[in-house]
Amino acid sequence: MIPPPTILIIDDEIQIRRFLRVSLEAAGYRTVEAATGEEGVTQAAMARPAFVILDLGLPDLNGLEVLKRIREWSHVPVLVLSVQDAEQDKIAALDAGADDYVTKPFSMGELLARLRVANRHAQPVQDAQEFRNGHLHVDLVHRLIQANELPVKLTATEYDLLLLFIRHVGKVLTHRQILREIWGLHAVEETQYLRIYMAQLRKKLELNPSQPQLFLTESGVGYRMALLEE
Amino acid sequence: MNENSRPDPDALLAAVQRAEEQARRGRLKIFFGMVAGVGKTFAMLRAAQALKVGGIKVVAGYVETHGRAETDELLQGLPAVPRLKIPYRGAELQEMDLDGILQLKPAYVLVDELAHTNSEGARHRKRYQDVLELLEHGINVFTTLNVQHVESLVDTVQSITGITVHETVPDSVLDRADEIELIDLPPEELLKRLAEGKVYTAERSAAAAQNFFRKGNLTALREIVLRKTADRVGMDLQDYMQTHRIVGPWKTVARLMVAVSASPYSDQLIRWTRRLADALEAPWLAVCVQTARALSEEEQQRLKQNMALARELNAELLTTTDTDVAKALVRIAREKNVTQIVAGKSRSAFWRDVLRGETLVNRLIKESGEIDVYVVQNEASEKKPDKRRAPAQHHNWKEYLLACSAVIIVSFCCFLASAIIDYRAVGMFLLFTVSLLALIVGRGPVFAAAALSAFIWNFFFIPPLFTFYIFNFADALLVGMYFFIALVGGTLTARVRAREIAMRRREAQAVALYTLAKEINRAKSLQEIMSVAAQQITATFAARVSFYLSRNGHPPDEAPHSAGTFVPGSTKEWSVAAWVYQNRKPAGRGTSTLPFAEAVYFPLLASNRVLGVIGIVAESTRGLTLEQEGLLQTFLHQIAIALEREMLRTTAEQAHVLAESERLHKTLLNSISHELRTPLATITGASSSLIEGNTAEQRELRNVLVADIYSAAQRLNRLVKNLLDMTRLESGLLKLNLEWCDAGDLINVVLRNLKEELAQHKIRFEPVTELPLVRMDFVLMERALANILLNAAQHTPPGSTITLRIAAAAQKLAFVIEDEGSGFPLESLPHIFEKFYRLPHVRTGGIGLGLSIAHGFVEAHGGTLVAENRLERGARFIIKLPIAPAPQTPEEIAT
Repeated sequence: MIPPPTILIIDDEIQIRRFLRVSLEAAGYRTVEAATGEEGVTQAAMARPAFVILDLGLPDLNGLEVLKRIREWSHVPVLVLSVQDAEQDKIAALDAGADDYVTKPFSMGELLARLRVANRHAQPVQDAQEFRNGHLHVDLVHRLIQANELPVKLTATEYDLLLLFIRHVGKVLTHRQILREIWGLHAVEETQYLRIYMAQLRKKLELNPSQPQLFLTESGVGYRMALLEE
Repeated sequence: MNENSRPDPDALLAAVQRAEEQARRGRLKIFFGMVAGVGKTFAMLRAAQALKVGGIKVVAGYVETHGRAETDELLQGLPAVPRLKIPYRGAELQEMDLDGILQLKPAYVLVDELAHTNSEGARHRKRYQDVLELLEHGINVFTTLNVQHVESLVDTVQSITGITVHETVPDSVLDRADEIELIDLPPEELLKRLAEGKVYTAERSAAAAQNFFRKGNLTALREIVLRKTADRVGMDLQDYMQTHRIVGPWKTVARLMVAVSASPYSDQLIRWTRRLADALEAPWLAVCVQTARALSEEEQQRLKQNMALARELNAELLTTTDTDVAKALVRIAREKNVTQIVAGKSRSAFWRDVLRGETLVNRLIKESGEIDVYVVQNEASEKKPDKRRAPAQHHNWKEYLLACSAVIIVSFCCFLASAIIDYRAVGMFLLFTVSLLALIVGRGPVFAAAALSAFIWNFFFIPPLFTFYIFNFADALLVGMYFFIALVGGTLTARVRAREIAMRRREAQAVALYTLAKEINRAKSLQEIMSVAAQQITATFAARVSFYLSRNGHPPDEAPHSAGTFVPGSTKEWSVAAWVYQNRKPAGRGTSTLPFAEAVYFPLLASNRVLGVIGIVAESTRGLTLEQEGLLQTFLHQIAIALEREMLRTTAEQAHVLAESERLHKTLLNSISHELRTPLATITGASSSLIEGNTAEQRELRNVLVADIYSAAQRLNRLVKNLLDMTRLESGLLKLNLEWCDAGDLINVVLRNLKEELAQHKIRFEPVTELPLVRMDFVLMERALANILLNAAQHTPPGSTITLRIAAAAQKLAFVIEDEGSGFPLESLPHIFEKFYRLPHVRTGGIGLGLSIAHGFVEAHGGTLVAENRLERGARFIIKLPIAPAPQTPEEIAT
């Protein structure tokens, strides 16, 4: 029997740790707790967790600092807990290698969904030949795209953008990350490119472009391709 | 009680007021004697010892024992306030430490030698002023005084003993005393004590006995002091009878008036009047009539001194301006119901009287009608009678020069033209010239011009030429008549002119006062009032001003008000101002209190409060004239009233603002605590119920409770979000993270995030394609829209439709949110974006911040948010954001 995946919870609030522990264990995970940043870094090395849930507001070390120190030697998925109005912190954490974020107060359902996505990412990436997500079907070998069983033609940049989302499906991509990947370092501030292309992509690929299901806007942070139920 | 036996109500009131005043102030007891050595200090110390035995705090402020052993002995055991040492020209002078005593606040203080003159550098020039200040502060004073130092008796003492006394105490101080104890010693006894060396040391005793301590002198002085004391006792009795309604032989009400001038004899007249007033127990006035004639500096000074003397002697002071002194005096006498006028006997020479018309006294007697006139002979004194006329004023010689040169030039012209004009015509020319001159110059120069022209005419024009001899009788008559006409015409014109000048001066004063009143009433702030006051005083008095304003009843700050035109050289000036503020009396340059200050300071009094202190530095070295001082007082009164008005207004405004902010604070507290407590109560209640266990087993119930906790937490979260947003807005630190955004996407995000809250409503949103991108802070705009939508959802019935539209036109992007509720009550419409404003009688939850935040965020974007009622029904919100020029777009799309 495969042992349940271990989750490291780094948060200074005992109540938060407790409800996370209770809920996560009920969902079949094993948990390890750390109340300070230093302890968190140590535990990340000792317990070898499958995920890390990291609070950005720690009393000793800056959460971002903890993230960077973990990232120095590990690719373990990290989910950061942030507060209202701290978009810049979230972006910084995402840019520094965090996989996702949740804003406090959050519901357990939301958190578990994010964990599932992270779990999927943790699987070794096989050289997939096709990609399926809800009504979207992409033949990666022949570059053929179908939305709702209908062929769609994309421009080269649109296709690159789609590929980027496919590679990080379920994960938040910050504006900077996308702009850097598609248009290069000089274009990281040109958010209007992104707005236009996202609108195009939605028009071509969403069932109802005015109520997008696939490409979700994370306000003030970036975009995410949702994992749609089969 | 019959009508006649009723005590005079005015006098009764005065007695009662005096008693009240005395209760607040310290009591003054004077140990009164005829000369030094009768034992005043001794008696004072004995009284002090008696008080001390009674456990009362008595200190010796300043006691001079002159080395007398028995007196020294009595001083033992009385705590003494160390004397103030004032350096003076290398020496060190000792004075009473006034501030030391004020700080100590004893019940009684002993102050010897009331008539003493303080050395330079002390606060007051005279010791009695120190004593008055002590009394003002509620400290009781014992003091000693010799009769020759009483102001109104100086002349009498001088005429008896031949000694001029310089150190005097005003009668007003004596009147002010609560108790006067006469220390009497028969002259023989005193002389014996003197001989025994008990008064002065041996050698000084001999000198004193020769000069002053002669038996005749002593007897006379003794009589004066006894009489003065008896008068005083009589007055006390009268007071007593009046306050206790004892019917007595009331005197007819006499009222005296003395005319005060710049004459050196005026002071004698003033003292004489005071003595008469004392004898008659009558009030008295001192009146100064200012004529058009400009007074010399010396005369100004003397006039001021005379008026000050009258004030010290408790006279009511009056100043008026008129060309005719006699008429003015009689006018005032009638206005004030004066029964007797006192005037000095003129000493001017006979020819002067003829020249100037009747003497003042004669005119007075004629005009006065039923009013008695006392004519008082000036007593011979060693004072040299000064020249009655002022030495020529500085501009006078110019007038003489002008008059003479005008006459000479005209004469010269006539002489050149003498071939064609008759000498009689020349006479007419000269007469014309003199008449013209009278319009420009004063009486003296006109007189000179008339005389000169008469001589010139006679010498150069009337045949035989170049002699003063006149042939014919007609010509002689002509010259005589010429001289007479020139003189009379010129004098009359000059008199008219003088009257006109006086009138102008009065008019100028009235105009100055009017301008001040007008300008100061127009001033809208304290700052403006102060600058207007500074401006007007500077313009009217040629003086610089500084202001020290009280701050809410506290003494003024060290720094003068910025509107002042005079910046004091040191904080010494401030301390003078502070004294004036404390004591409500003028002080500084030209007064007898702190006379070494740069400026003279006056309190600004209104409604029995000191609003501040004004300092005045006259540009001219002469200081202000008496007339200017009178006008200045009126100015100060006006300024004080304006200040008071402004201060009251500010206070009222502050009170209003305070009440308003208090109200807001209360509203905030009430609504926040209510809004916080409601979800907290839900959470506490539901969770405790779950803990209890009974409910936990019933699955249905448990789910309901848990859902309640969840929604209460959501509500709390929204509240905290709003409070944080408001704080961000209010802090002024709101920084927009402007990016190019897709408005349609914004709506999508908002609707997705509010899915739960809007679940009860139908949402209609028709997306528009081809919308331009807009630069905005996505998060803040999301918050603004969410707040408006939440507001709509809260105020409209479930099941109704909320419609969202976006449109771009005229460089603006508009978001329109419409609902189908009841709309806004009309009276609420202007207030809905105000903080903590909630529609009356509507209970929806929320603290009235949502719309206010939405408004703030939209405005931060340079946009507008308006609310209106729809024509059909419901409310409509319109957000308009400016559209910036389209951004650079990637090439691929553009092609």
